[in-house]
Amino acid sequence: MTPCLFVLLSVAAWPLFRTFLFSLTDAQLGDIPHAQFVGFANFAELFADDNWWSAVKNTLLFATFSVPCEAILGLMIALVLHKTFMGRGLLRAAVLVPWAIPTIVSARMWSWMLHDVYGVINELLVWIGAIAAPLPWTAAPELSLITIVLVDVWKTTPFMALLLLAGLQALPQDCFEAALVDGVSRKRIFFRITLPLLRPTLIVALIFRTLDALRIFDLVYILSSGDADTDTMSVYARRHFVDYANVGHGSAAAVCLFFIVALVTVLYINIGRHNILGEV
Amino acid sequence: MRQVYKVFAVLLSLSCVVFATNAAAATIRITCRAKGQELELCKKAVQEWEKRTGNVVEIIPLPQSSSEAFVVTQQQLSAQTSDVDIFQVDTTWVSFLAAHVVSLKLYFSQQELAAHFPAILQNNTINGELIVAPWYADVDLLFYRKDLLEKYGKLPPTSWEDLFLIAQEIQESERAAGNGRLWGYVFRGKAYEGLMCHVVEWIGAFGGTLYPPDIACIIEVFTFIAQFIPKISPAGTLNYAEEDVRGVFQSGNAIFASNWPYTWALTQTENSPVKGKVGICVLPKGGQHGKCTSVLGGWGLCVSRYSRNQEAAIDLVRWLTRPEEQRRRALHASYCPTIRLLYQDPELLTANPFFRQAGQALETVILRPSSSLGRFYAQASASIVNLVQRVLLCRIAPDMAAQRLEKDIIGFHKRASEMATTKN
Repeated sequence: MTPCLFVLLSVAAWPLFRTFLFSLTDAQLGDIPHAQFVGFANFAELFADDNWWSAVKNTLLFATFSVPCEAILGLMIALVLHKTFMGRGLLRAAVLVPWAIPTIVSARMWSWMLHDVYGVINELLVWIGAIAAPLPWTAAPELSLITIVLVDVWKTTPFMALLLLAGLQALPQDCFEAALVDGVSRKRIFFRITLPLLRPTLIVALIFRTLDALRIFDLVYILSSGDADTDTMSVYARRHFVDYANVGHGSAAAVCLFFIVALVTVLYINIGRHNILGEV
Repeated sequence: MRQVYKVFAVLLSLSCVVFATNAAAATIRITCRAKGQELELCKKAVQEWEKRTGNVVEIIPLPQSSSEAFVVTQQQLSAQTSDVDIFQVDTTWVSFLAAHVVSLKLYFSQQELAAHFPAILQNNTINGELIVAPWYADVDLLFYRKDLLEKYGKLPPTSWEDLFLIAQEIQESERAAGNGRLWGYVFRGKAYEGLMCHVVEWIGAFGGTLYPPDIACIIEVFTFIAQFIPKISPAGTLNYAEEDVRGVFQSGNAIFASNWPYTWALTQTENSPVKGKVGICVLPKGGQHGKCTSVLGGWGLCVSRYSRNQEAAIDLVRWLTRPEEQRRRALHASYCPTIRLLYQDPELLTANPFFRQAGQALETVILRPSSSLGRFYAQASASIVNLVQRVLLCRIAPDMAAQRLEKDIIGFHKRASEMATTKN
């Protein structure tokens, strides 16, 4: 227990504590030793900054749209992969490819494919007649959030599918066999047996994904046009911390990000516990 | 346990060997940008110096993006480590660097210094001390499709208003003729330093200055650029960095593009669709009292105050920035020298026909307000480019935007000067 606690303290609690300390100072990236205590001035400045609130809004919107899409698609893929068919092993491996590519690489790849003049996506969409003229997927502020959600869904659905597939394979087979013998319809089996039994796994997967989504950074950093209006909380924190060398302000944003993520985790765990216990 | 001691003993003796060789010849560590051919050029020149002096040089590649490279440099220098002796640095970093580097003034003769363009020297000097040795210059030029302008009987534009009309006319006619994806004008519209350069240029071209803010001129510029999208520029241009601008222009999808000189060498390669169809001129002027304006970019070398081998490092800086080396870089990779005389070199002019215009542009080049804004330059620049993106999208009225810009930039300047006085 003691070594475990020590590791946890040194890798999690100490950096967190330091970030919190920095958020109360006017520390500059180039000149940390001369930082002075400024109380909650950074937080006051942060809460008065419209860009911060738009970053909070963007992050929450991103999480609300991306996570359910990934869960539904992931569940569908998991159900297919759970069946026995020719080449299933190969397909299971292939599904994981988007998840296996480092995000920076895949984001760069998508930014080329989504390019408004020579991108292949616009070419295809115009060719099949879905859009009249090429769209600036990553440049237009009203489109870029949708684009980022779509790319994230592409990337993390495999992760969701894998988690749910593991859950499916661990389900007891006897109730399915009994249902089949009784001639219950497939739809009814799914909604009355599969889904309730899978709920604990689904909730764990949703918690993972939501927490991940709240600290989204890399996709936004690569895909967006660098406009402060499209920042998420992590991008905002990095921008102030690194680009503006304002360690105090950046740390204040990081501390707020931490509390928002913590709050969501607590909410989720409470809901999850209730649900998981409800099943037992 | 004995095994562990053995390993220690081996390591200890090895490190003795390493230190012993260090004492004989200095090891110099230099950061070099890893963009395009730059790293190769750097390696080659450094190897020659190693052979000549017997010293050893380690090259540390820098990230491509200037702002990311700045983060690395800032961290190294702020920590006051002696790990890196020479840094390759961008134009706007000079005020940060001043506290951390050796003044190079005494190591160059008056004559050597006077050979550089005055604007570059002015940018790299603080309080009479040479902070950064000039290495190469970057200056925005206007690239145009010679073939299309000829086809429609147009001359290269001398004013921004001209450029707008020509771009609109050719774009419309070409699109009607089936060239559906052709755009009039592309530029670096992503919210980063590249757009900041354009903003400074546009305001300069219309006869004003960004700092101190000339509000009447800024309103005029904002009103003008708000027409770009979607009349002559695609909305996607708001996510273009230099390579995207080159990509669109080189694939034959733009009539005009403003970008750095390196665009030239790449548009002239064998498989470039616009090979032989590209013309270059200086950026046009705008409004009633305008003048042709380009903004100064480019990189230099500086020697860390915390270096343990300053003499050797300074010698390497002198070696890398000397006229012969600048000439070689210009000849093989189109990097613009900082030395005026090289722009009259016939061989260089044949290899890079645009050197005539580049040299002309460097004479009248203007600086970004990085020295007036000091530590707040990055933040001021980010808030300005965000505002300008909104102007380009017509989401804010030009006069409102100009007023906000004035308020922001004066606020940042005030904070920067307060910071400077409290430090003193």
